[in-house]
Amino acid sequence: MFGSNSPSVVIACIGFPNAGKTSIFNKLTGSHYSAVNYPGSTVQYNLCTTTVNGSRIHWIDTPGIVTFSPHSDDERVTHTVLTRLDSIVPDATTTPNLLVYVADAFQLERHLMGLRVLQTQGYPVVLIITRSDLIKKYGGSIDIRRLEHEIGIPVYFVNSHTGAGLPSIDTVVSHVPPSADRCLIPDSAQLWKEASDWAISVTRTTWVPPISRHSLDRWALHPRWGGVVFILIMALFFFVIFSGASPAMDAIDAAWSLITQMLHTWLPSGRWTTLVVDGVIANIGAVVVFTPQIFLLFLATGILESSGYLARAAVIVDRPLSKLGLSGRSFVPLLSGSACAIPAILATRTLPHKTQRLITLWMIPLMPCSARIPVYGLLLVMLFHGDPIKSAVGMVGIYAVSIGVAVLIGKIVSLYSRSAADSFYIELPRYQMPHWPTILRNASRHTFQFIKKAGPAILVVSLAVWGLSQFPSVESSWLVRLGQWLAPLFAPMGWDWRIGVAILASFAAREVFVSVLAAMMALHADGVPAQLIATHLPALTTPSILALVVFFMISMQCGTTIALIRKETHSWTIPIAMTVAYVVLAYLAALVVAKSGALFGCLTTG
Amino acid sequence: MSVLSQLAIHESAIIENVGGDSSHAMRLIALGFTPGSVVSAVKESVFGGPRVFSVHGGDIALREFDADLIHVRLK
Repeated sequence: MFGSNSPSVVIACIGFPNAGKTSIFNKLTGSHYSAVNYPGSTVQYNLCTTTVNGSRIHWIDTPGIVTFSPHSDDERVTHTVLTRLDSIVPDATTTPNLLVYVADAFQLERHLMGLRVLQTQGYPVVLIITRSDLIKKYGGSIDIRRLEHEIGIPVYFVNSHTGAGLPSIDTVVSHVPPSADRCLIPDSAQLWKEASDWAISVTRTTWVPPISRHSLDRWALHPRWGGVVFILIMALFFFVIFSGASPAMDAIDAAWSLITQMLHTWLPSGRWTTLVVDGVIANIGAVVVFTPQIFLLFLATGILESSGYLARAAVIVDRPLSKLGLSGRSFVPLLSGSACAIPAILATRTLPHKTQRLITLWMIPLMPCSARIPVYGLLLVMLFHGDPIKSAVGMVGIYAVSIGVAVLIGKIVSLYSRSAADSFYIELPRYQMPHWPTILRNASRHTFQFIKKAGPAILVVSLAVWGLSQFPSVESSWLVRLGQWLAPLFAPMGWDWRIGVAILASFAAREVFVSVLAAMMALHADGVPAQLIATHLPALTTPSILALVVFFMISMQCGTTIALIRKETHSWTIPIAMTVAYVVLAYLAALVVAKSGALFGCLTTG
Repeated sequence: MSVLSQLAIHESAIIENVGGDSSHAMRLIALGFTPGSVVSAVKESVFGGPRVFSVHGGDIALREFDADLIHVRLK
């Protein structure tokens, strides 16, 4: 059927959001897929290649869609897969050879409408209905043979957790028709209306228990208590991330200091030992130490999402966000931004309006991302000398002020952009127990991606700083000269030249601030472990430390963020404007804080 | 004829048609607000935000802007 010269066969997995598509894709392909970038953009999709009877078969997972007339960037990917597949998979035909359409058993009527529209457009389809276990549990009945007869295509009823009922890869491939003629008529309201009548008629004999409205919504969406529940869940979210990660982070930190100390005793002391131990190994440690926190952030977001609460949270914050010209849809990108701007920027692809996307993009770099946490951690140690309660309160304060600044900037940008969205609709998925294997896998994948993205930047900067600090001689190195040359710039805030150098280095990635300070301390005070930086730093006044906090809150210091915004907006103007605005604003805000703090100090003491 | 946003809580109606620009109307229809189907208001809004409607067995939250576009006949 598939000769070696003919185009390769592509099978695309497609469905509404929350239909359970990704877990079906994972089960079908045995999770042996890799995330691939859509050519010319950062939109990722999952691709898996298998060989069945000597033919290469590509499996593509697509973002969930509502209609087949794309509206946001991720819907555009699905649309491209459906209509211009050869632009993604070079050796494919223009349309997929077979669609695996995934529908939720509890939403059968609605989800079958999409199937009908695709069928009308001439696509060969296989239907997979998910959640057979829950239908059985609640006493529903779906006659699969009858549906198969009525729709005229193969239908499978699958337990998405165990995979029971799922056809084998070979079986799915056997449904690929030898050739097919697609009439790519665009979808229209009329087409959907007809599809609805059809869906009602084919599902007339099925009975699905109406359990979509769970008693949990009595609280989660209560006119008054809904807000309280939201705040409690968010508080728990951040508490779990910070307190849950700290034992693992302490362990990694301790292990790393042990390793570096041991290497220092074993290796002959000299320039090259410092390079390997303080330059390379210590800086790898500075990245690795974040991984528990980032992993927990992605894990907690995954739990919120797969439990169904994230959609409710979007409904709760829709009204406040509408004041910024945004909608509840911006909640997920902004929440992700408190982990890392990179996945947050990628999440803005789901936003349907350019203006909404732009405002959200302006706000994301101001969200308190995890790269700032070690910096704040160090500064809080300096402020409160390790008092855990004061530090925790300080961290909450930093978060609150950061979000306040982001809202303010969002408001300013919305005032200068034409018309924001008036529309907002979101499907509320049924509450369900999180599917742990999927969540764990996604969290590990995201954590690994973070290390891959941030790691090299941190390593290169650290090595550059090491190099600058060693030549021509340690006493009067280029780094010392550079620091002293730039000192006037940082003097008004009461920042030491070493802090100036660390700030400069932190423009590659914020967390470098801590490791560079550590590296410089090691130079001048022989083998000082990172946690002692605070006590070894030249005394900074409280206003100077607060000024540093404010600087890191606002400043744009992440090369990856700038590069990604450029890619996503296809413009240099936006990332450049953002960088200049946030660096200047950060400097001015730090100046104001330092000066007014000093003034306040004079008034209170004098 | 009234619009969906006028529906009181727990009240049901039959969808007559969906207004607004054609691509937006198609989206609302694809979400399940198809003419002829029964819709009911199930949740009051939180802070005056979106309200939740039930249609074709699914729960969908809509802003007033969208609910105003859906014309219904009270049952």
